[in-house]
Amino acid sequence: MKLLLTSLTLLLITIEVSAKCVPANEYVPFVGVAAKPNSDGTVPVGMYSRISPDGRYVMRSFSGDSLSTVTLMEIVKQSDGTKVAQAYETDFNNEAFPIQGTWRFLSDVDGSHYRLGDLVRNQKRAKRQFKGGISGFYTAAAEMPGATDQNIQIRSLSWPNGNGNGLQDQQGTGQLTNEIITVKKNPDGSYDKTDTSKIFYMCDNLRKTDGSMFSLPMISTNGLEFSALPQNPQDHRMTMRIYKFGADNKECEPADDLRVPASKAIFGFAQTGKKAPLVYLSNAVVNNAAVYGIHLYDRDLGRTFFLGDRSKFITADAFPGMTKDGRVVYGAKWKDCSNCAEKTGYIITDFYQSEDVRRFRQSNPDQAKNLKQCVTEEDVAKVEAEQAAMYGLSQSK
Amino acid sequence: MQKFLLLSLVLGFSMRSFGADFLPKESNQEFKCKTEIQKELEKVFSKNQPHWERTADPSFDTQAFRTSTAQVGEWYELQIREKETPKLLFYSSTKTSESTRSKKCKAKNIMGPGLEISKKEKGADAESFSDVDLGKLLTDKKTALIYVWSPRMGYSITEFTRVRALAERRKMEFIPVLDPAVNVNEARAAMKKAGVDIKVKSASSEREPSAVELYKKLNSVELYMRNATLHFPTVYMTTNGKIHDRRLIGVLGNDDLNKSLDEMTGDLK
Repeated sequence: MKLLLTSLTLLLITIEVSAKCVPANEYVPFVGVAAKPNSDGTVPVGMYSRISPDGRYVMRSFSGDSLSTVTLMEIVKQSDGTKVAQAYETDFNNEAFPIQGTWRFLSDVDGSHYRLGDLVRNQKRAKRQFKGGISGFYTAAAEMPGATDQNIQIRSLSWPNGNGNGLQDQQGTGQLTNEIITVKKNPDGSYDKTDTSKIFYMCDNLRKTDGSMFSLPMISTNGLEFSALPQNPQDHRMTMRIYKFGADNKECEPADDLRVPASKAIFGFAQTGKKAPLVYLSNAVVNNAAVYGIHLYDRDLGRTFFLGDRSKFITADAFPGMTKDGRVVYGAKWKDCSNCAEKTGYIITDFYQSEDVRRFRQSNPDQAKNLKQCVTEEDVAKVEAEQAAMYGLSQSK
Repeated sequence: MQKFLLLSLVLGFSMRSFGADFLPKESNQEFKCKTEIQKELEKVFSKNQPHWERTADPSFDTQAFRTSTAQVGEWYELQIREKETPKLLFYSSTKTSESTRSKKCKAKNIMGPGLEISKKEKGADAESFSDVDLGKLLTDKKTALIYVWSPRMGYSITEFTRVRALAERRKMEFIPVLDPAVNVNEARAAMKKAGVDIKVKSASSEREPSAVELYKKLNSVELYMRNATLHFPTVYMTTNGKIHDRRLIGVLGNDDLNKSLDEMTGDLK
């Protein structure tokens, strides 16, 4: 009997410990060289920040005077429990991008693919795995579902290159395109490209409704959808929309409409049986000041939630991202009070603990019944372990 | 024919008296104090119809819509809330106001200071691009291309001179407007680092642009409300005393940019 009681107590303690929520908001300042101001006196947040599935890494362009152009930022937990962000240098060019969904590879703009683990270990001396995919500007790519070691498919989305349309770097905009490459893992752990599809010119089927020009395209984490803003749609509503890639890889099937003009809308991960949410930056006027905040659009609920922390003075970056466990991470500058010194770094927000979701839970318990209370430390640890293997980081550094 | 005209007038009048044209089309839901809000909007927009555009929901239970007015830099925002009474907000650079409703739909108006999109930097040699500047462009009926750029969005720097040259070829005045969130030193350093040749060239001479004409920071409520700061570059066009509702977001090649500007010119004739 005593044994049973002890076991039950231990079990309860274990549940309690494993169910510990992550903080609602974490502020992660840059440290080391990353925190060094540029010659103009500002500490750069960087541009086109992309968030890894476990929130441990951020890949960013325009990293400032003291670092390589593109850096891989690692969010590290210190012994006192606080977090900081430190930089690894790369040899990449601005707008290098991750292969979303898995981050098995990070790609330079010319389509040279690298493993994240190699970049962390060797930084600028990391070895390229293979070259492939679209190499246009603002490229986004994602690993398609159902990958095996012998058959990994990666879809990249961009505009075609070199159409001589006056752009300085000979990159065009115009019609969106996508391409699918197939990759296999070799016995020694390296990867080779085995196949390349043709380039698919997209969305001809939408010319009479959404028009032919799209801006701000972003691919979903599973490579099956994309978000984009039609520049001149028939209905004159310049709103961010979501499309599915057609079975022929050319048609674009309208799937949803955020109904608002947004900055780049970035996909999170679809939880079981649900649609992938999107996060984006938008502007507002709060307390008579023009501010920018991060919003999350839940496609199942058809609702938009504000994720900001009104207790701080925050300028958010236009490239937020989501982790597999549901946290939102974004670059930002913030002040703890109006006269306090400005800090630069990342903000990690637990969507489920945000003020807006808390209020939603209270006022709409039926609709909110499937929303969990918080992201737990266990959720984070599980995703981090999965990702370490994917990055090739399980080997010692 | 006369009968038809009369019927149209009667219908038009009755639609107007119900305020059907004054609420955002998307707001077909019922909300508290709807009739009172309709009446308030009817007074505000007695001369010009509002052109509501939905903006990001301020929270899960609130939809927000914004509209310009006949006056440059004066905007209204209607916030429709699920279980509470709506708010009507007024924004301009000289004053703001927030009109709320009691449970019995009685209006309460709180006035506030003007909205400042960017603060003037101490000691900086930059000026801002304000609603007064935009208003003057429209009054003077200038055909202009407003290029909103940021040192934090690389393509808005590297494509700066190409878009300027395209505007000049089209005999449009090129007006660069800087991201209000950055300081002038950052903008200047980014231009230098990117190696952008910013010299102003004519057939017989070339010169460095003055800091004032290159680094005017956005301080226009009109452009902010038109979402000029959500992505860089964003391009607006003015001609014949009007600014086009459409904005060109991101980098467009010369063909697409010319095609879009042709379409917009046609619309504003």
